[in-house]
Amino acid sequence: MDRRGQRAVLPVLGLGAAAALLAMTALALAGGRDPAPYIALCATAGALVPPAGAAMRAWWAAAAGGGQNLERAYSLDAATEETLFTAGPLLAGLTVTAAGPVLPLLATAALLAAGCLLLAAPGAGAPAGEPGRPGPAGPLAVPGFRVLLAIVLATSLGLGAIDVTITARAVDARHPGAAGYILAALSLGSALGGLAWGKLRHRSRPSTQLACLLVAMAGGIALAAVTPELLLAGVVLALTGTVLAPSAVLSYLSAERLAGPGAETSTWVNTAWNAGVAAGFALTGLAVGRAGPTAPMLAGAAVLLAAAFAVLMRRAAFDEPGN
Amino acid sequence: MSRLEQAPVPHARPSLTYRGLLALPGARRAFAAAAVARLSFGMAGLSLLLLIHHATGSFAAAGAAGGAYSAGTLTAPSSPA
Repeated sequence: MDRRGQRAVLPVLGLGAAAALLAMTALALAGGRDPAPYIALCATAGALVPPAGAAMRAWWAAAAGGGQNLERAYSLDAATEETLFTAGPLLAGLTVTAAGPVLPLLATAALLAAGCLLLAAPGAGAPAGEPGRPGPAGPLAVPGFRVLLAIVLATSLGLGAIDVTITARAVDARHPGAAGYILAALSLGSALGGLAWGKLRHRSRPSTQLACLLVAMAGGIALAAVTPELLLAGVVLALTGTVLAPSAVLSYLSAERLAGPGAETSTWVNTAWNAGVAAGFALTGLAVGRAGPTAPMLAGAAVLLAAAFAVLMRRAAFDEPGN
Repeated sequence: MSRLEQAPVPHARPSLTYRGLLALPGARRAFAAAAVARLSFGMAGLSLLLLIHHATGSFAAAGAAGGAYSAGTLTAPSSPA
């Protein structure tokens, strides 16, 4: 199959992800209590989800050119993604409040199916497959890029603690919908932060910018962890959110600067991000079961602080102009 | 898909506003398709946590399943392109 054919097939495979989500709701409705099938279905769904974000960024990299335009395009894209990540938990929160814990996943499956069909339509946002210009050994041969990937991994690991701890606190408070509203507020803060970031001109070194954003993130999450009132913790997280999208923009731009533009570069960053989130979810879930939500959230903040420290330690490689 | 490859080739392009970026040929269409897909991504994490915690009564199971979902996405981006 040629590359264009594969790209057309990917969104169609995504319909299989929607089917896996539907199977989970059926299993829950049938009273299935064993975690194993849910975990297997989750892994299947994740494997089939089309990489819409990476595809969109590859599109922008090809269409907007480099420099200020690409920074602005990525800021717009990060803000959009955060807006959707605002609406997502909000919808989940509203549906769980209105109709219980099964409907949110049903709605997710329906939207995913619709998104896959739109992506598969001719001329829509299927992965562009822009080959880019990494060296023979690929982007991983660039030392600064490996530093960046480690930072992205640590950041997403730390941030992965938020979803599970906030959901646990909301469920404990007998108001699971609150988790949706708080995660939505976090993403809304992030969207606004991303838009503002794209309009600013930045003069300090990239490592300094990223370290500052990570320290702010760590401080905000630590504060939210020790704030006993759930609503107030949500306000703290909304404010903390303002630095999330800027750090994502900075990561994607640094990746392009260090390893050259293209889907491979963007995909590595995405992969590091998703690996961190996966580990963050799993570790936090285990820790919440044993120690409650506060300690795992503080641990997430500590990981972010360590990431800030790591950027500064390796700033010579990180600030390289690249190839 | 084929139209994506004809995304305008960057020459010395003037500085564009957010609105100008969205006015690029094909931008709105690609943007809308990616947006609907990503809205479902935004719902998935919490929806999975809520459903699986409800079904199994365990946050360890819910976290592991949410983690498995994210881990599953690791294979998706490297297979195409």
